[in-house]
Amino acid sequence: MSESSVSESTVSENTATEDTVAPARAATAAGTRTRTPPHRLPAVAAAVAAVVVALALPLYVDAFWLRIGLFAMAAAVGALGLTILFGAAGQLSLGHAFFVAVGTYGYAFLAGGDGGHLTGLGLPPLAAAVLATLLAGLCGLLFSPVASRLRGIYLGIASLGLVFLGHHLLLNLRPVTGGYDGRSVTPFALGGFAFSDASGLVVLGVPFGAVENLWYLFLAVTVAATLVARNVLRGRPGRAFRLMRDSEVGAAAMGVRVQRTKASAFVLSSMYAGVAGVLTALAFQRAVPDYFDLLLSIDFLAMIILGGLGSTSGAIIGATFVVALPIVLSRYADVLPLVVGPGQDGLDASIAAQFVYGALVVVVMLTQPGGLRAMVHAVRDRRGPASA
Amino acid sequence: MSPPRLVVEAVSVAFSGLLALDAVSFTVEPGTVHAVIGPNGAGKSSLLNALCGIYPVTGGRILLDEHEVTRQRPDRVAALGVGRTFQNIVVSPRESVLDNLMVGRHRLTRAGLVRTALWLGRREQRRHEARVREIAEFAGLSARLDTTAGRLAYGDLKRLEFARALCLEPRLLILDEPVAGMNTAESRELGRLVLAARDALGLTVVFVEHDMGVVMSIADRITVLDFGKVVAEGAPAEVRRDPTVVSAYLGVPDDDAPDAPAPEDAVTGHEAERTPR
Repeated sequence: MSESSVSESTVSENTATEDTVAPARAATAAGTRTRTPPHRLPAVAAAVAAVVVALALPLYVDAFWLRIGLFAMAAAVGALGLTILFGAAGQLSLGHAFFVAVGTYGYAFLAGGDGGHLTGLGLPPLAAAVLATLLAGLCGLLFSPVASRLRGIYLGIASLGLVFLGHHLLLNLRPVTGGYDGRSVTPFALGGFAFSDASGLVVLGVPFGAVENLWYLFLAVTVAATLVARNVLRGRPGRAFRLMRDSEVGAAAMGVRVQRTKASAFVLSSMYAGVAGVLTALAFQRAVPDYFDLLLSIDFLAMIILGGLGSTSGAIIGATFVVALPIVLSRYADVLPLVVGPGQDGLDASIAAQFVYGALVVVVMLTQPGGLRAMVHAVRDRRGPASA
Repeated sequence: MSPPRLVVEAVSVAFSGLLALDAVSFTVEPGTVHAVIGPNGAGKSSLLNALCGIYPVTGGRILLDEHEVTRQRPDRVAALGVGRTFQNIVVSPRESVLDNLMVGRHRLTRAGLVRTALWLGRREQRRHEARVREIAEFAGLSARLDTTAGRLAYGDLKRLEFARALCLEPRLLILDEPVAGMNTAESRELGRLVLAARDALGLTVVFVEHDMGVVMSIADRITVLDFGKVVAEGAPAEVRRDPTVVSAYLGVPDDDAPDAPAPEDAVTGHEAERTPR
């Protein structure tokens, strides 16, 4: 039915006396539109360059920086989920840390073995990772009756409770979570290849340990998560999300089922958080409850605001910045003014980092509410009005 | 598909005791352009919102051909082929004009999250984008497709909303003050577009408008509301002479004899905004 209504009843055909040549022009326009439009080429080139650099990095950079990269990529996937939910669909969630925890502990439990007072299912790591992601999505679905009825900041407040609920469960479901001490995480393995120091792989003279192997795994997952997010945001669901964000009544009048759409955005974002949780588990090689507190949810929020709400590249850049800043500050604490390393008297590096990006969030909100993405666009618009 | 008949039967809308619409009845014949006029607060927008399922109807019923629209969710009403615009412009200001128009295709397209994520929505999107470009051309927005909607001039925003409503491939088109705030030339152009769309696409049109020039020139019939009630209905020429309407709304000065033929400037309608209430 939808197909026939496209070809039938063309407006311009019937009004051709007044608005001539419309079909021909429209057809050529549609034809040129199918390939990447010229103004997007720099962005595509930048993305390809970033991936090439990321592929080569383990050959040149030591494990300290690679480990930051792992944490950054784990966070980036989570931030992508939140930028779909909050940036595009306008639904604020402060419960993102909860779903990340579900991914982390879900993987630890599903892939882990029985031992001591801990239980585990001992599934193959890939199956455990996929199931942990689905588990996070299921938790999102269970919360969706709430998520589909509330809007914006009200959902943020309602989802706050999830973090406290989650923290309580992590401390008290001891056979699954290991309680306060957490539990260790089974390293990832695929088809007999272990993503650990025992892999014995040597590439161009560089011995590949856990960090190098995981780097490529994380890179593949991050690229896939980014592409999926871009497709969703640029396609039919993303457009419905954004109109819903700007006006629920307007979206409903276009035929968007508002409650269902809100629920689907929430479930998708939960699954992204689940993937981020699995990656976090693999990067830390341990699951500890105190990591999954409200501050983690706020960190995710800071990432997407700094990068520009609703932007995939912004989420990645924001995540890298928020993750890397405290670690880098702490590493160079002895040469930096004001900042001290862990355990010393003075301004702790991780606290200093929070000050820095807290201040940056304020600056970005005041001067450039669109974040880094809008800044890039502003520069492009100033440079090349000729392209328009 | 032939244009639908809209039947409004004794429709009432109440908000916690306040009666916004009181047993409003009228029929819009297939393929006609029907105007709803009345002073501010008469219930015109409430009526349109009731037609679209946005406001709950507390009494009476609304029929679109054989479909009962009363108490349907707004997205279901849209799915029946009802496209609308809003009085206070509702667009995504940070998205491009093309993206804003493409939202209008939502009910006609099927790609959900999974299909879109796996690159399977692109063919459908291209096909519909070609059609959307035709509609944009028709509405005079072709040169603006890549512009961020928030940067459009006011008249272009109004036309964007109109074009987006057409992108639904509606059978019933509902316009809430489509030319409010436009200058005379823009208003006349949009009036022409409404008629052209009606003829080309086979639409039934219901619209609310204060600009009497546009109302008198494009409406086939007019329903006049005051305090939530229908006070008059008829062809433009009849309504213009109706003494109730004149006193309630049009506000012709007292020294004008009511039976005198309507002067031409009542039709151009710029002093129609004066509402002597």
